[in-house]
Amino acid sequence: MKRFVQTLSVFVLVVSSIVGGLVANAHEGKEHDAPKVVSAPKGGIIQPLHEGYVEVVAKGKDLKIYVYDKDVKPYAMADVKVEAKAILPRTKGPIDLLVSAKSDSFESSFDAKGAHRYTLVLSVKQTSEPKPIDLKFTIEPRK
Amino acid sequence: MLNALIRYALNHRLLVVSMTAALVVYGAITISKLSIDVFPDITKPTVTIMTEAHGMAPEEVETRVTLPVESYLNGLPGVERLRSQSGIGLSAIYVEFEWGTDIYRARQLVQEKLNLSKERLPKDVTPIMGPVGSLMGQIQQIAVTTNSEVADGDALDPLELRSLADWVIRPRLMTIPGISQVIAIGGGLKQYQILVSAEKLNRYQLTIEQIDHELAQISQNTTGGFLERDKAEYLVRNIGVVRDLEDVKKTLVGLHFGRPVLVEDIAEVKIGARLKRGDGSYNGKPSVVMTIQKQPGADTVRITQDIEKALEELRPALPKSVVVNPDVFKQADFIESSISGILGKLQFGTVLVFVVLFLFLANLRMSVITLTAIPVSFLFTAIVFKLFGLTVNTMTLGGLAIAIGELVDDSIVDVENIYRRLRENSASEKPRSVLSVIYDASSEVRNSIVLATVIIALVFLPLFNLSGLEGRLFAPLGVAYLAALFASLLVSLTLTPVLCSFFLKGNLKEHKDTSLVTWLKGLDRKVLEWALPRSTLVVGLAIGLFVVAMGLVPFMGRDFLPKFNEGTAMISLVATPGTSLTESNRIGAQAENLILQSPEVRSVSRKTGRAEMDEHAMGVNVSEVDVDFREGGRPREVVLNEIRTRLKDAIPGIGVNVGQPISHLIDHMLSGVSAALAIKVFGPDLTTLREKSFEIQAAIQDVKGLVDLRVESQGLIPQVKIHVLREEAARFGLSSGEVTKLLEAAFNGEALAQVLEETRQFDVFFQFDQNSRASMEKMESTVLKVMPDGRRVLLKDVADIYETTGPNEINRENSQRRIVISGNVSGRDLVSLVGEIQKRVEEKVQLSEGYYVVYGGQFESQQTATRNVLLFGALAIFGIALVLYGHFRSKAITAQIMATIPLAFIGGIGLLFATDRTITVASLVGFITLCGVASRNGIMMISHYLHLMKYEGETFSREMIVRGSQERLVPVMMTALVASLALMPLVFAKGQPGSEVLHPVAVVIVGGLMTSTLLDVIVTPVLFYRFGRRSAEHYVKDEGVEQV
Repeated sequence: MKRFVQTLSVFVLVVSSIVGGLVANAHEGKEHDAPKVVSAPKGGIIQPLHEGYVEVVAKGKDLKIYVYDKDVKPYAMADVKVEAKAILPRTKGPIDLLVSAKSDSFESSFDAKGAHRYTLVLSVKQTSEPKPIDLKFTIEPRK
Repeated sequence: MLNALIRYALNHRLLVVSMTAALVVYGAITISKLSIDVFPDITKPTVTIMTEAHGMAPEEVETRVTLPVESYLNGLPGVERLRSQSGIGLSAIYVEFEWGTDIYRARQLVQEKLNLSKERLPKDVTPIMGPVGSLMGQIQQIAVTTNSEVADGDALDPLELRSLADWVIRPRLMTIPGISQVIAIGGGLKQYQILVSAEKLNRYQLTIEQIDHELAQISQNTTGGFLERDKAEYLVRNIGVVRDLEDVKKTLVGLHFGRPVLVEDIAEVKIGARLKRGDGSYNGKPSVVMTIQKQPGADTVRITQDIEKALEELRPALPKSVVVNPDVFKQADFIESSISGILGKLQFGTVLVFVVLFLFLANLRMSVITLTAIPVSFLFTAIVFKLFGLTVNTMTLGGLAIAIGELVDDSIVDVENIYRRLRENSASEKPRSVLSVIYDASSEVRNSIVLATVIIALVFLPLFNLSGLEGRLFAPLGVAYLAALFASLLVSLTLTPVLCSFFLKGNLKEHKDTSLVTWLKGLDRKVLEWALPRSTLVVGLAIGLFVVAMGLVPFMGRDFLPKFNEGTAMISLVATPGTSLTESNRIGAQAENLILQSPEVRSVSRKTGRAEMDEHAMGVNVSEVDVDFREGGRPREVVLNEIRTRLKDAIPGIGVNVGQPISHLIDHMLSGVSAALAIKVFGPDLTTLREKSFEIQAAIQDVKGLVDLRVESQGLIPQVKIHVLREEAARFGLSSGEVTKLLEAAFNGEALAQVLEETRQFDVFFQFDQNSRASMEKMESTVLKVMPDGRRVLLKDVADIYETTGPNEINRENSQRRIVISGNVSGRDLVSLVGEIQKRVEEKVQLSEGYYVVYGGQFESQQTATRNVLLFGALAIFGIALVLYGHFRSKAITAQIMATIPLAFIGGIGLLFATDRTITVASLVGFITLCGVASRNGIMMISHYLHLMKYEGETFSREMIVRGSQERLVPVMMTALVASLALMPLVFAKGQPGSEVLHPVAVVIVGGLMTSTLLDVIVTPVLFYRFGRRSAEHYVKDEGVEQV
């Protein structure tokens, strides 16, 4: 039994080393292709998409969502769709938000009713991408 | 009174000579003891207030610390600007007072307000004032490195290296008189660390609260009163301090089922480095970089010599592997090269003056007597420097360089007249005594000497009214110039007649013109005979030339001050806010290696983030690289541009600002930003400020000549917030304050005590180990309290832990939030660049209500300085007119003399256009100086015409004007040549260290003197011939003004 445990331990160690190494290498490769760190053009919170960026500017209840290409230039509004949900901490279930497209951004609003923060979940679908991408932004309305 | 002075000097000749000798000796001793510096003291009175606010985010620091302190400081008398920077756990407030404010009074006022502000600050948060500093205070950097090859692999670790710097090198340097602070960065600050495992705490059922309580008493000595025995008393001491790691390990922290739990049971106890918020390196390798600051007014060169001596003394006591390099950055090198450059030019100028004197006078005795004025005036000026507390610097020496030509003028006039009268006397049948002839000859010319000196003194008065940096720079130049001029006036009234009485006696030969002078006079006659009948054409041509010269002005650029050539460069690298110190170090090291690729670079040193005692609240994303250059190689601008491009290409995404250390400090003093141009966006909301600043950046980024453009690094950085839920916490008997206090100790750590190693003190530091705070999940599982029923209260029970973002720093100016877009200028003048930027911002950026843009930096100072120089310059010209009118009592004569000023401007503008093509405050000072020098020529010419009419029987005629002009030709030419040649070395010194500010002054004066002299010998006689008859005849008959 003791011998079996020792053999098993060595096996687990070898397998985990190989898998760990692969994961580590994959991570390095991914980092190589990762979008560059950029400053948010509108002063909000910016997160990367596969090919571009999304910036959220929150002022009080109002939310503005900007979508950019990989050079941080405005993305054509017609080529992108955005859906939004808000999740308050320690509550069950998200709240769907109404998103309207404007000339250069999407706009929405959410009343957090005094909560110190909520999570804004955006589903961004670019026509160039097969699937929508979900992004989470922490919004602190009182900041 | 002046006659009495001349008479007294001649009657007490031995006394005059003895006093002069004494003055020369005392002056020589004084000059050897004067402090030497690059510039006069140009430090704006500023009080820095640093407040450590542990654990607070920038928003909290702003609202809980900066704002309350600012609110008390607002309204302090004499405050010009209030700037603040709220960073992570640190508030830095800079209170800038008006120029000229006594810094100690300012500090007293600030201290009073700080005492009041304490009641509105959080507990344990105390604002403290930084030491009295000087702009040029950062005088040297030393790199302390360890070289394993030297000591066969026995290299010191970073902790040992830093301890050596802090506890061996620093104390020795701090004993050197004149040093105010030595700040070390890099290596690692040694600590005795107690790294508590949250898991072990759980195992032993202990809470942070208990640990915090027990460890607070880990190291305590107390007294036990006194014990009386055998008629003696013994002091009882209770010893509980920790002395080593073992003491720490054996400290009790609680009980587990009755069994004692020691520190070693729950924590790893080791010696480690304190959390770093900054690091240093030298030539791409980690090192400890020590920055040395001097006290205001201390002698930089002497301190540098003392530092090198002290390091030499220390060297045998240091480990073999330690290399101390004192040559990383030395301001003394710049000072020495600048001062020796200017001194060389002064010496060369003096030689040229002597050559000109000898060429025109053709008499060695007369030349030597005249030349005596230069050394005597200089040494007298040295005594004035001492009385005014001035240093020997490029500006005071520059004042002397400008004065050289003028210094001999008074003596030339005096010696020439004395020689003429003595010769006439010796030829007469009844010769008078030599002394009485010399007295009469000196008295005869004293009026014109004094008048000319008064006028030149008048034009320098505006320099003393300049405020700001320009006033600080040019006022000492004015003091030096006027002191030397006053000394030369005194010499011409005392020493010159006395020396003449000793050396110009016996049979004096008739003073014949040299062939050069004969040729010049012949040429002058021909020109005048042609010009006098064609006055309209001559005056028209002069006006035309003036119009052409003025037409060149719009084609010239405008800057505040000329660019300095410091011999070193400072390159700031700004990574995205939120970049870790490790990453910032990697970027910095990469940049160092890239900079070292330029063959002109000798060495680089880098400081990343903030040193523990530093007043500069720099984030870890910011690095400052000091670059030292070898002599020779390509022009500095080319090398700097190459470095700039290489850095931007190789390290995308970082902001690069290439400047020079002193220029960088001057920029910082002017605008609070280390760049030549600062576009400040003010407004209440940080998000909008960031948005607008990026819009401005996008609008102006392709403006030609704008380099190093970047938006201040007020970005968002990732944060983990632990938001205490008050109701949940209360349910477990915990208040919000208790929870945050416990968490601070656990996650941020706290220093509990100190361990003494001989005389060195090291903190005993307690914190959760890395594993216990490695992830949000682990943090959530931290046990805060064990309830009476045995239930453990975890952090996640009482708080919401989440990832978010927040600003890395918040900057304010005059009680408003602001973000700065900064940039430098390359290959273009500042004013036109700012004009284009303003236009683009107005067109492309829309600002909402409550937001506005202010353009600052050198541009702001250039505008203020230009306005002041022009205003006070106009007042000075008006003053000259009044003095002339007071003397001649004729508006026409005054106007004719004043007409020489535009003639001088023709050459000043022309030569400036041909050389620098930029108008700076320095060149404006040159134009002001020119007004005085040019008027002097006009006075000499016209007063001689009047003299001929009044005393030598001439009538107003063409012949009288030709005669008068010819007789004045030599003094006018000599004066102009002497003044021009003395300044010629500075004209050819464009961009040389120390000559940067003086070069444009010299260019304007030399150019102006060339045209004013050449045109003066033609235009002034023509003007006088055309318009001067009536006023001259009135003057001769004393009918100018009705008097009672």
